[in-house]
This record gives sequence, C-alpha cells and structure tokens, in this order.
Amino acid sequence: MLIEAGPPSSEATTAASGVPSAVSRRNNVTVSGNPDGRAIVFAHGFGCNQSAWRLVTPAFLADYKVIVFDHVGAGNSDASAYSFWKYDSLLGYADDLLEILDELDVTDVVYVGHSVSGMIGVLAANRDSSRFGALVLVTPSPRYINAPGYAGGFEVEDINSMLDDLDSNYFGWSSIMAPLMMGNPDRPELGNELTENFCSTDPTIARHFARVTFLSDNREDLPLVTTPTLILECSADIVAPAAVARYVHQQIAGSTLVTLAATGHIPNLSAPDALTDAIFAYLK
Amino acid sequence: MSDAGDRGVESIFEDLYEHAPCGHLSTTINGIIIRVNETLLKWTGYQREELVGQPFVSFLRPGSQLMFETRYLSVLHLRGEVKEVAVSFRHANGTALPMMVNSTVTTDGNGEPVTIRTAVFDASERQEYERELLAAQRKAEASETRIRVLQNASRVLTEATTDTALANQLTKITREAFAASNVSMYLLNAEGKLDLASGNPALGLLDLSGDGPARLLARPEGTMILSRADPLAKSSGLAEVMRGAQVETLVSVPLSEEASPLGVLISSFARSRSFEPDDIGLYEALARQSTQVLTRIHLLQQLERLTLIDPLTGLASRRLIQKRLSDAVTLSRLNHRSIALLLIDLDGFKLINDELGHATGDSVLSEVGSRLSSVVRHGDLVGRLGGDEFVVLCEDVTPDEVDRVVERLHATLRKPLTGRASQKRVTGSIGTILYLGGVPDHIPPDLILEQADEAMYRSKRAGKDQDTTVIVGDASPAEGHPVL
Repeated sequence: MLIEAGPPSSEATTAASGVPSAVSRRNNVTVSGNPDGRAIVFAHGFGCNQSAWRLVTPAFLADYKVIVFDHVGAGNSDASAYSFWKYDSLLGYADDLLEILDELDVTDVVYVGHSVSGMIGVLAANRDSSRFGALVLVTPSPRYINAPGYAGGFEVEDINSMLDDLDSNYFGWSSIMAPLMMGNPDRPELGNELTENFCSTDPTIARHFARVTFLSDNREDLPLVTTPTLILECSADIVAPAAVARYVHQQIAGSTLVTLAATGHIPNLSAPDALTDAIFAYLK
Repeated sequence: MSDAGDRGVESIFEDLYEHAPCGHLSTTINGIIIRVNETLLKWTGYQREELVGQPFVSFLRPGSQLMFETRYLSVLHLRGEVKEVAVSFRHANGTALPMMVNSTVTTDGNGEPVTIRTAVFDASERQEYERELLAAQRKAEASETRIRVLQNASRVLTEATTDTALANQLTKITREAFAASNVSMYLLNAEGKLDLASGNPALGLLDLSGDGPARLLARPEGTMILSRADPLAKSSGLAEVMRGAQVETLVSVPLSEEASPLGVLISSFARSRSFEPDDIGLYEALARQSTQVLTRIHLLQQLERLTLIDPLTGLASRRLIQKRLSDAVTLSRLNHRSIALLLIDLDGFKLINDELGHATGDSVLSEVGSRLSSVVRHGDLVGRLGGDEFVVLCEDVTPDEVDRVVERLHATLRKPLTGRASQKRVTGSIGTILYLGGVPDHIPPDLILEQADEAMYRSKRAGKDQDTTVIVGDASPAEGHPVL
C-alpha cells in the first residue's frame, strides 16, 4: 500500500490536444488511459490533491479516459487563481468542475468525488446535469455539524478547534513537504518532483478550504440530484459516520449505498481495491 | 550464560521501550492500537486494555479527528511518514492532552505496509503558549487586514469622480474584504427608487423599491445581517428568494448622509457566515467613506450644472453652448441634418449701461434673454456668450425656418423695453451660419462660432438691425444669401 513513486504527471497529456489550456493549467488537469473510453473524473478531498487517487486510477486506464485534477489551492494547481470570494462556498469548485468537463467536451461522465468533492459533484450536476452519467460519492457528508434532527458528527467548536490545529500545524505542513525519501533512492529528481506535489497546500488556503468544507450545509441540494448516484461508505468513519451516509442515501432518490470492506475515511488510500471493485460493480 | 545475557539485553530493550521518554504506540494499518508503552499509559491515564484493540483516532478530540482522518492519514499513506503534527488527545479523565506525534509506516519484505508506529510527545506547555501566540497573531492579522482595506479604500474611493466609478470600486473592495460571492450597490434616483449602480443584482433583483420581500434590504436602519434560517427571513418571504439565488447570508449596509438616505450596499454569501463586531465596524467605515465621496461627487456635479447656466439670464452659459454645439455637430455628421448657429449682438446696449447703470443693463439683458427664448423654435438652444452677445442653436433646420427665426428675433428686439430702460431702444445685429446637410468633417465646432461672429460683424458694418446669413452646403443660394 505504500506508494512507489509513479510517473511524473507531465507524462500524461494535459488536455485532448496535448496543449494545456487556461482551465487545464489552473486545475492541473491530467488525462490518461483509453482516449476512446468512457470518461471518469476523480476529484480529491480536503487535505490532499490528485495523488490521493494514484492507487485507484491504474485499474481504469485500460477501458476509461481517466481525468484527475487538483482543486485550486491544492497540489500543482495555479494558486494565483485562488480567490477567497469565489471559493467561499463549494459552488466555486463546482463551477471549476463544469469548466473542466466543458473544456474536455466529455459526456456521460462517471464522476468520483471523495469526501467534500462528493458534494462538489452534487452541486455541479445540479447546476448542469448534461455531462454527467453517474455520481460516485466516496464517504460524502452534506453537513458535518449536528443540527436538530440531523447527526453530522461534530459541533461548531470542534471545527474551530480543528482550525486551531491547522494553524498550530502551520510549520508541520511545511515539514510534511520536506524531501520525500521513500521509494526512490535511485531517482532523487523524481522524489523532488513528488515532494512538491504530495498534498502540499498553501496554509492560508488550507484554512479557508477547511472552513468552507466543514462549515457548509448542502443538505438541501441532495434531493435535487437526478444523476444516478452510488454512495460508498466505510465502517468506523468518524468524519462521515454511518448515519450521514444513510441520510445522503435517503435524500438522493434512487441512489445506491454500498458499505466497503474498509474502515476510516480514505478508502482511496486505505482500501483502493475494495473501492475500485465497488465502482466497477456499479458501472456494470 | 548466553541465554541469561540475551534475556538481559531483552529486558533492557523492554525497559527502554516501556519507559522511554516519549509515549509510543503501534497500530494496524487501519489504525487499531496493538501495542502501547507504559509512558503513554501513565500520561494518558488509561489502562492498557482500554487502549489496545481500539482505533487510535477514537481517543482524539473531535477537531483533531477531522484533521487526523483527512490530512494526517492522507500524508501518512502517501509519504510513509508524518512528523510533528499537533493533535489533541482525550485523557481518561476527559481533559485535553495536547500532543505532538510522529508516525512511520513499517513494511514487510514485499514493501507491503504492516503497521504504523507512532511516537507521542507531551506538548501541553508548548501548545498553550502556541495558542496564545496564535490568538494574538490572528488578532493582529485581522486588525492589520482591516487597516489595509481602509487605507486602500480611502485612496481608491476618493479617486472616483462619478457614482458609477465609486460604486464599482466599493463593491470590488467589499467583495474582496469579506469574500462575498456578490456585492451590489444601489443608489436612490430622483424618484426615490433604488437603481443598481454596480455589481450583479442582489438576489437577482434589479429594483428593491417594490413591496416584495426585498424591501427589508432596501432601507435597513443600520447594518443588517440576515441568514436564510432567521425567522425574519422566513416571515418576509426572503428566505425563499435566497434559496433560489443560492444565498445563505445577506449583509445590508445603509449609505446615508446626515440621516438622508443615498443608497444601500448589499453583500451576498453563498454559505452561512457570521460576523464579528470588528467586521461590522469595517462595513460601516467603508459605507462612511463612500457616502463622503458620494456627497463630494454630487456637490461637484451641482457646481458643474451651475457653470452651465448663465446666472443673469438663466440661459445656457458659454460652456454649455460649446458643449451643445459640439454634440450637434457630431450628430449632424451622422444624420446629415442641417444645423444653424445664430449670433446676436445688441445695438444700443452700451448706451443703456453707460447712462442708466449696470443694474438696469442687467435687467435689460435678462428681458432680452426671455424675449429671445419666446420666439425660437421648440428645442432650439438660446444662450448668452457674454456681455450683450447671444446665440441661438437650431438643429434639423431649413433655410426658410432660419429666415423666420431671424425675423422674429428682430421683431421681438425692436419692441420697447420695460422698467427704467423704457425710454431706450435696442435692436440686434444678427449673423447666421447654416450648414445644409450637416457639418463637414473638417469644420470644428469652434470655427462655426467664429463664422457666425464674422457674419454678425458684416451686419454690424451694414448698419444696425441687420442680418447676414451664410449658407454652406448643397443648396441653391437664396436671394441675398452669399454662399461661402
């Protein structure tokens, strides 16, 4: 499960034409796999970037056109495109997603969104469902904070203390980005390239993204979903507990809820095979 | 001997592990605790059997759980190690234990991950002063940001010379300062309605003046913060409009100068937001700066209007004549309609001024002004260039119409004067320049004034109460009308 450093992202084509466009550069969009296959888009959650999918995407390369990207502010996205007003709600990210799909001109897209990106996909599909064929929401939560009649799992104070943690870990975030030693002692240049990529995020943006992620309430957007939806939950997921997964399932008419043989919140990294199998089973 | 020796080494290592100067725990790759050392037990207050078999994350406080599950584990999985991450652990007695943790993933011979080893350091004191520093730093940053916004605002806003320019700057500054999804500024028009001056319409509403739900926003008594969930939003029907526009929170700030309303600044937020008193202070400071600039702009505009009117006669001033002439020339070039400029210089006025004084002279000028205005065509502009020189600008005019206007001007001037000057007479020397089919491109407006002036002098030289009309353009010259 530990990651061998994969090919640098530059080896994948950045857009259909091979020339990165403004949108592709902004979101560091990489397209690989089967150019004639059905498009599948993977969107990462809070705290990481597109490398969160590196254990999952290989299984799709043969049959699918595989699209991964970084949200603005994360990974190798263009951080200068970050605007605090645009990204003060998940709608800003949903607009970016729609622009990426427009630019690649893909339809019948399978959208796989982890955690907060699950809701970003819901908002995008509600804005314009024409490009979406299926939504796969991996450990999603429409609201993290408890409300009357709704158990999100957290209180506002918890979120505030998490934001304190984020600030306390300011230096920690830098050290997380320290040189990557593992896996590639022979190819230090690869290590350096990945060091820049691995879940690096500007701390100010990380704090804002955390605020927007964990303080948003998108419950009312769920019943509006018309795209076929698969919800994947794990057991013992503290971030998106079972009650939340059930809630999402109940609110999206016709959705399918599958519990993965995995624990925690990040099955894309902790149980990639179970996640991959569940997606294939649903798409079959 | 060697067995005993090995046991000795083992027990040394065991002692080192159990009583190391830091807490230590091992978990499965899924985070289930499989081993803990004594140091950790002593420090956290738990029995070994309370920890082993449980997920490590379940002993963290909720805020740290979020951090751990999203950020920490992602990095740990991808990099194989995480260093010096601050988390908050729940002591057996319920209190918070601030920790710094380092984790590494151990792998088997095939590179498959097996366990996670975590070293735990007490960060209570460090965390306490860090939090204090953090609180102070945030406070300093927030106040620095506010000051920067205000300094920038006072520089940028005061540069505005029109309502629109001010509105554009204010909405931009506000949007950036508060990370609002939209900021719109409305200004009261002459009819007392609010017109959108900048930004996208708040909630998609162009006019806030009606009786609809938005009337709440239109005239707030003070800064109003409204969430979609507020009872007021629900009872007013605004909540539904907000839902449709994907707006969760609205802030409406009145713009008013000494209690008289000028407009309103409305910010929309796509997620539920709360505001500190300092934020509201910033809103109000921006509103105050803007109303000062608005007031200044309005005064300047008023002054501008004043300079366009001749205060003595109420006719157009030289400045307005030039402006309107220039506009008329431009238009005539487009629509190829004829325009004429008539310049009237009074005969006999100097005598009145000299013999009866300036006050009487002024009242004669005023009387002449209203007489001229009463005989021109509807829509003609009458102005006073200065002294006893008047002009009439006729757009879309025929030579015959010009003749008739000239005749009427002569006739009205010949009538006896009233008041102290009733024994005196004035007449007019009139010079007219008429461009048939519009003014050619090479003729500047100033030249037209000069041409009318020249024609007027020709009349003056010919004796008093005369007129000269110069016609430029494609038309057979009328009798007595020389063509240039």
